[in-house]
Order: sequence, then structure tokens, then C-alpha cells
Amino acid sequence: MSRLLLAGFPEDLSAWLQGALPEVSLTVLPTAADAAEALRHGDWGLVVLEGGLPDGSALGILKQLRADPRHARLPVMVCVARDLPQSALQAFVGELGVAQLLFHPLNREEMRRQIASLLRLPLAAPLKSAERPALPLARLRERFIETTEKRIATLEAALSEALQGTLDGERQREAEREAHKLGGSLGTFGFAEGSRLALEMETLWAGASLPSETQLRLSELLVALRRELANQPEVHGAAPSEPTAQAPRILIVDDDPLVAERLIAEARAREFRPVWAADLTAARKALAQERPEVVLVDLSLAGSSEDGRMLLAELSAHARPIPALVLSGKDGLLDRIDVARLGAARYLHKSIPAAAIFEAVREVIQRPRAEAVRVLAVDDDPQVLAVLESLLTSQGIQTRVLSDALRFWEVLEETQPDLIVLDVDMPYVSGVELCRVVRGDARWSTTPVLFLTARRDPEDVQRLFATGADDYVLKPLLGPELLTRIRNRLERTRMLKNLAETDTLTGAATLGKFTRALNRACATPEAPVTLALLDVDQLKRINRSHGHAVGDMVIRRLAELLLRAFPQEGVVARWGGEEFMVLFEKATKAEALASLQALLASFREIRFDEGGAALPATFSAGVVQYPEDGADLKELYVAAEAAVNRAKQVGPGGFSS
Amino acid sequence: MQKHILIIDDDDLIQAVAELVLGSVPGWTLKGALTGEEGLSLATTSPPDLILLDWVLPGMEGPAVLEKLAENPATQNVPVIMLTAMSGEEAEREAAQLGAIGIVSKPFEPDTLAERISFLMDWS
Repeated sequence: MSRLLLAGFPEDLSAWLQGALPEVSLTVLPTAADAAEALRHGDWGLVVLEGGLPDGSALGILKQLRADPRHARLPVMVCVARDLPQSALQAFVGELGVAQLLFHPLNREEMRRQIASLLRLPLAAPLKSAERPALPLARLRERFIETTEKRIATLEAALSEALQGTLDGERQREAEREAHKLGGSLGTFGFAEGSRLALEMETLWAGASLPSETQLRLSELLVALRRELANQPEVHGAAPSEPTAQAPRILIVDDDPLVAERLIAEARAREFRPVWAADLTAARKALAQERPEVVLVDLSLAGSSEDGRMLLAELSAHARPIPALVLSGKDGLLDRIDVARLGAARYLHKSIPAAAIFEAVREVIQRPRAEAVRVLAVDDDPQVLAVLESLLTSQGIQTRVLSDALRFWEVLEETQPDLIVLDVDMPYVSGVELCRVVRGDARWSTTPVLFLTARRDPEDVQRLFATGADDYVLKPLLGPELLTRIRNRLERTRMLKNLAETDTLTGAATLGKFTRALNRACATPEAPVTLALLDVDQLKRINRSHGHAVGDMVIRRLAELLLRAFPQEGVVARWGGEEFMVLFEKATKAEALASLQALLASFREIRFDEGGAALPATFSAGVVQYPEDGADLKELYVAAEAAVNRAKQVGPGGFSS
Repeated sequence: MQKHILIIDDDDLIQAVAELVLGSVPGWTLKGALTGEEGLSLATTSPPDLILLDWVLPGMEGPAVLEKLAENPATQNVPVIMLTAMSGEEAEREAAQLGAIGIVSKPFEPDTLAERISFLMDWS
């Protein structure tokens, strides 16, 4: 029987471990002195130490242990704090030969697993590989398809009930059972990925409740499963996009023929090729016929948002996602977040004029891709890292690879990645362990984590998701699959981040993003840093006499001009109502004033025609400089506001500094 | 010698695969039951040489079926292999505690099911 020495852990944890590891003889000791004494005598299979023992450190015990030639190779596991200095971690796994490190707060199950693995407790008997001709499973193909179809339909129906809030417990258990069966039969019929998707669904359906995130995940999984089953032979490797000489095709999904008719006419007038679908089925059909450049979806199809949401999920699950814009009558933040999560590129309120809708459509089609995205990949296999690095770098993704998991925290802080790729099995520290602690840290709790693993056991997979994994990819790695999954994850977080960082009406930055840009500029003050506050003149009057839609249009057009004139990240921010703030990183007040004058000239040219009355608009501006006019954003803003007020006294289109 | 196998699984697709795979092994015959109750009655009237028992069943679940089999003198000596989505030592141990001789993890490779059974049963 394996003998395990456990020192410095709470009693309840020790007792739990004893129960969970019946084949191990456990000796539990409270202090370092007891442990040192015990190690001098007994014969041990494994030593597990708390890093910070009440009467001394694990380092001391280990030094003494390793000095004894009998214990030179005795496996040791140490539980340490996540912020332990790099040098101490190195000492543990280097000279002291610690086989595995675990981080506080401890996870019992993980601890049990690692102990079992270090003690090499017997696993299931290995299967003898079979030398048999392939079985004629094809005979069951039709039956398989039929049964699978039925099961997926059941899951879809249950999900739809969940989304409407009408799901009862019995139905949920049925869904769980069906997902369970799918997991078994899909794998048996060779759909390993489908089986994985089904098993994840089973886990989700088994939950006590189904919060909206879970529902969304379930709908993504269903979509992915359908895709998996539909194009099994060509799931991977999306074809590169072909340039189309033709006018861009736009699919308009709206169940109101009058609205659709208006949108189609507007689309034609703007040289799009519009196609109309009145419901989800028609939309699917149109999508299958010819891929559109962009889709415009009314979210309230047939009175509920169900079909619209389903369609959005399907569009974003495409190997090459089709950008979608959503028209909605609702305007709450939650609605927006919900739609953004489903992968929509824009959220437009139904009341905005058709011209603005199609401007947004153009922007979405022309949106430049590939912002600077950073990925941190950790794997102890340099070959895997080399593959990852070349694969991701070729896609314009900044990739930092790391083979030494002990340096993870340091490199994490340094890299500030948008996504983390972790190998599950690594020496000293497992990927699961790293992920667990990443999730425990508020700054990283939402950063997507993708696992690389060679393990296919459902139990192992469930463990990954339980740890906080967002996804996993099986080794050996398949380039296209890996890329698709990384992109999906990044796209999703980017949507959520954009939502928080850009003003929804204008696309300008929000306060937070602007503040970061300002702080960056002020940190390197070799060049002058200048700020301008712009205020649209007489916006209230425009709103009163021409309506808010026109007022909004004025604001949007000014934002467009500003964003085009100052394209650097985060330097144009909307400051509430009719105010904008612009950051000039390397311009004096005089230079800033000159470029604003030019901008005002262009702005005056725009006619916001509505009902035949030409309506020119102007803005006034106040310009201030850091640090002369203020030491921080607040002081600078107060100074700029005073300058704008002085400018306004001169009349519309006034400037002051 | 003929080997009679009873499979108790509520997934008729898995039943069909088992029939295809195990039924094609010379000397093996297969019977199926979709519920624990049906399986128990079949096992009692003509005890098979082996029962493949799904862990998750509607109504009476796999472990409960196993208990009933052990209580009945007619079936208490029939070896049982559990079909389960779990794998690894924990699942093996749990199955052993219930009195099963082993587990087959789902999804299984159809090609290896017969081997796995032969291995567990020591049938050559």
C-alpha cells in the first residue's frame, strides 16, 4: 500500500483525502517538526507539504530531506501561495526536486488527482488494440441520422422553452438525458467532436438552474453540433474570402413586409443587392443559396426574439462568420449585451433613419480586421509552442509562448493577454491549476482560457470546464480548428469589450478608454499634449424643431468626421450629450486649433436635410494643454469647459484656448 | 459454448450497434431490454452469461437494477458490466463496489467492444 505523508493541512482536508484515497495509507502531521521527525524514520511513497507550515517553512524540511540519500528521489508535492516569488518556485522544483506545485486556495479534487497521479495508482486496464476489419456501421447510418435528428430537436425545443421561461424540471431532465445519449452515440459513430459538444450540453442541462449565459452557451453548442453533423467532411479550413465584383448582397430578415419593402428600396438605392426573408426558415434557405456580405435582422420576428437570436448564433458560428446588424425596438443595456454576445456587429434602434442604418451596414462591411490581439500560450513541449507561434503569428496575432509554467504569473502580467492557451499536463504545475488561479483573480476572471489536451475522457473534459475553461482543443493540434476556436473566443470578448469602450450612438470612445489614452500620452511628455472640448451649437434647438433623430444624426456625423480626422485608438471620446473630447498627442494649442478650424469648415458643409429645410450645424471648441492648464483629466476638463463657454459667447462656431 | 448476453440500455441506437457488433461474434447471442424492469424480468426467466447494464436508465437506474439482480438467487451469479459515460479509476471502483465486474466507457469504439468484453470476462 502506498504511504503518504501529509503535513500542515487542515484536519477536514486531510480527512477528506483519506476518504477519497482509500488505497493510500495516510499519515497526517500538523507541524514541520513532526514532519521532519517522521521523514527521518518511515518509508514513504509521497510527501505532501503545506508551503507555509506554522513552525517553519517547507523549504527547510525539503533541504533536510534531500540531504538524506535515501530520500533523494522521494516524490514531493508542495502547496504554495500564488504570489510566491519566482525564485522560491524555482528553488522548489529545481534543487529541491518538487514534482508538483499546487496553489492556494486548494481544490480538493485537484489535489486528490495529483496525488493519485504521483503515486501511480492503478488506472483502468488498457484496451488491447483490435486488429479487426471495420464494422459495417454504415448499415445503421439512416437510423443514426434519424435518431440524432430527433434528439437534437428535443434539445432545441427544451432550449426554446428555457429561453421563454416555460421550461419545467421534467423537460430539463429529459434534455439532460437526450444530451447524455447523444454524447454516447455520436462518439460511437465516429463524431468525436459532436460527442464533446453533447457532453458539454449534458453538464449544462444538469445544472440546478439555467442562467442566461448557460442558455446562450447551449444555443452555441447546438449550432456547433448541427454544423459538425452537417459538414463533417469540410468543417475545417474555411475558404479564403473571394473578392466580389458584384454589388454586396444583403439579407434583410424582417417579418413586417412594409418595413422590409422600405429597407429593400433603400438598399437598392445604395447599390446593395437586397434579399428578403420573412422568417428564420426563409433566412436559412437564403443563406444556403448564396452567402451574403452582411445580414440585417429584426430581432422581434414573429413577436419574440427567439428566432432572431437563433439566427444570430448561427451566423456567428459559421466557419467564416457573416456580420450581422440587429434592428430592435428595445434599447436597454442588457438587450445590447445579449445581442453582442450572440455575435452581432451592430445594434440599431428601429427609430433611426434608413440612411443611418445603411451607413452602419457599410461600416460593418468595411471594418478593418485584426486589431492587435495578444495571446499567451503555455506548454512544456517546445514543438507545440513553435507550431502555435507560427500559426498565430501568421494571422497577425501577437503571440507570447512560454514553456516554463513557473514563470506564468510574471509573464501574464507582462503580456496582458486577450486570451490564454494552456496545456493541461505540464511538469510541476498543471494547466488546470493555472486556470483555477487565473479565474480566482478579478483582473483575469473573464479572459478566455483555451486548453490543449490529449485526454478525451468525459470526466477529464468536465473537469476542464469546471475549472473555468472556455474551450479545449485536442492534441495533436489541427491548425484550422485551433485558429477557428481562438478567433471565436477573441471575437466574443472583443464584442463585449467594445460595448464597454465605445459609445453606441457614435462609435467614439467612452470615458474609460479615453482616460487610458490620455494617461499614456501624459506618461511620455516629450511632445506637447493638448485637449480639445467640442460642443455642438444649439443642439437643443435642433432637437426641438427637427426632432431627436436629426439631432442624433448631427452628433453622428460630427463623430464620423472626428474619427476620420483622428484615427488613433481612443483619442476621440463622446462626453455625454453633445460634447466630444479630442486628444492631440503631439500638437501645440495653435496646431490643434488649426486642425479644428479645418474640421469645422467640413462640418458646416453638411446639410442635414429634413423636410426640405437645409440645416447647417456648427460646433464651438475650447483647447487646453497639459500640464499648463491642468494636472489631470478633471482639471483639464474644467479648464476646457471654461474655454468653450468663452467661445460660445462670441457666437456659434467660436474657438477659444 | 454459446454465450448469451443481455444488454439493458434505453438508447435503441446503442442496442442496434451492440447487436451489430456482438451479434457478429461467432457463438454470441444478444438480447436487449430498454428499461431496468424489462431487463430484470428477462434475466430472471432465462439467466444470461453476461449482462451489459447502462448506468443511466429511465425509472429504475443501473445501480438499482444491479441490487435487484444480486438479491435474486436466479441472477446473483450473473456477471455484470456497466456501461457508463464515466471512465478512470473512480468509475471502475464505484462499479466494483456495486458488484459489477467492470465498466465499458461510453462512447465506446464499436471495433473494440467485443475485445473489451472478452478481456473482462476472460472469454477466449
